[in-house]
Amino acid sequence: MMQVRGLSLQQGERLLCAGLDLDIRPGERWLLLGENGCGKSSLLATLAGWRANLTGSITLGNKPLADLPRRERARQLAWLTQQDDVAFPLTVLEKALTGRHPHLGRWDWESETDRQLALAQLERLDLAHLAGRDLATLSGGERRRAGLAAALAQQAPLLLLDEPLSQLDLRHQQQALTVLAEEARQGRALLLVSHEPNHAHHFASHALLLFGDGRWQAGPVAEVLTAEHLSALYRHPVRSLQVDGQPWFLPGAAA
Amino acid sequence: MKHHAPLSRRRLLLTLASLLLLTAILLCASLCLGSTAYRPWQLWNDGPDALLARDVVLSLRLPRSLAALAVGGLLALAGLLQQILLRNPLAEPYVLGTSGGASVGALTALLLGAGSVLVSLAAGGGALATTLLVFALARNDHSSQQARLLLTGIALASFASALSSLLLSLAPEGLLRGMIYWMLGDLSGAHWPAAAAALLALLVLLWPWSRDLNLMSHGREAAHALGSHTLRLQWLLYFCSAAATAVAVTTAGMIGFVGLIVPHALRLLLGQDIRLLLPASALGGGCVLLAADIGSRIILAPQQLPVGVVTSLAGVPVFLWLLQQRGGRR
Repeated sequence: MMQVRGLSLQQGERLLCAGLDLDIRPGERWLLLGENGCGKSSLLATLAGWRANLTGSITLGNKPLADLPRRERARQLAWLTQQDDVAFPLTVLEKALTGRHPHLGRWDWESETDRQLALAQLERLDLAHLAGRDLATLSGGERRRAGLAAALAQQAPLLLLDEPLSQLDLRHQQQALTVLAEEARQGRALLLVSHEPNHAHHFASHALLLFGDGRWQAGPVAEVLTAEHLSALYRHPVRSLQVDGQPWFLPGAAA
Repeated sequence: MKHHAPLSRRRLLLTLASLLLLTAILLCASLCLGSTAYRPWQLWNDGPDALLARDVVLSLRLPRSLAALAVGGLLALAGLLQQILLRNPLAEPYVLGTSGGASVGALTALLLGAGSVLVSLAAGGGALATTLLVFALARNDHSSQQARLLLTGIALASFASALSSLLLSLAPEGLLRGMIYWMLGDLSGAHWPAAAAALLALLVLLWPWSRDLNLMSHGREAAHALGSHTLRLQWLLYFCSAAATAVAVTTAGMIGFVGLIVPHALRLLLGQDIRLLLPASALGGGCVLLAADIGSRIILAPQQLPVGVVTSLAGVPVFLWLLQQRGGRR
């Protein structure tokens, strides 16, 4: 689905990630972890074609990302950014309907089908009762879910999600993860930025760690998500506990 | 205030039809009201009054009313486009220095004793130059609020205002009155066909992009993610807002607050969808300026006020009232 070869990311003089190779296949759920400022959002912006990559190649469905027509790219790839402040009032339903934009021609209007699809995404994320509310009047977590609903309404086979779970309470985090797992079962691939390694439970199939100094590590969860790797990633001791046969990660006391 | 369901084609057409009706009513009123008592129906009378009525209604009031509709529409459109561009409801040609640039251009031409065509061209050149300067200086502003772009515009507006004052203080007695009158804004003798054609052309050019403009007003990254060509749209917005301001200023001089008040009021009344706001701003801006012009003719009749004074005096309280209404909704 998406292939990345030899991708390097730089922020000013700082090398964030060097020679990244990544294969994202249908149905895979990737968890992207790393310190603040290690380049997680920059990587997503690059994979979404917003930031130009200096070196390396990105292909989406066997075509170079840069060569894809914009509308076609938007039908293949949804990108939820971290920024969700709105300059002008916008209702939750209108926000969700924006996800239909790449599917509509220049003279088309959102159809009843589009509307139902958008409403269904709101329903899945427990937002249906807020459909008519202005985003600016909602809490941060509710706004985040509205953004996720719009990304889901885009119905793209690949979703790049930048901290979709930040500011969400425990129940809504689990609900969103369940919804995303459902999407993956339908063959969609997901790359999700998070600060919580335990989000991997019942969800992630793969993990990508960015160390912020050029080093990276990618692979199946069982290989990559270990207490040893996470301790190195966060430069803080991380312990793992076995609960129901699965490792859970806890911060240890600072050395 | 009620919340808005997503815009439907039906609501778009109904709203525009209502605005067209309002425009027609105001146009009729404008043809009937004025500092003299002539009325349109006297055109069909026999006798000496018919000729005079024809002069007043068809040669004076009609072109002036059409100019008000076109110029008001252009100003509101320019304001709306700059608000989308900056993702800031406070942006408008005055805040960004676009009108100030036009003013400096026109005053320079007036000071040099240029004719009306050159004054118009100089005003247009000033508007475009200021727009390009703001864009060039703040091009690399990647912040979500685009604060640098707005601040650059405000700084340039202050600079243009200082230059205008300088030009006025340098002006000899004989030219001063004309220059000040131009700065206040004047619709009498305004040339409406060019302004109306420009307004129509801009609407036809922009409307097909209005769903993309919806996305642009909520952030360039989000618009990119949904397949919009953000850089191209940005230039389209810059060019069209500069052109609209330039044509408005060259047609009727400096008229304030239409570009700020009209899109803002319409957002509160009609919702945020650009597919509706674009044509509604063009019509609503025309209505507001025409109403202001009718007011300027009858408040102190037979004396006429500069319409720019009326828009500013009436616009600010309306703006504050609407802001209060919106505050109460939350």
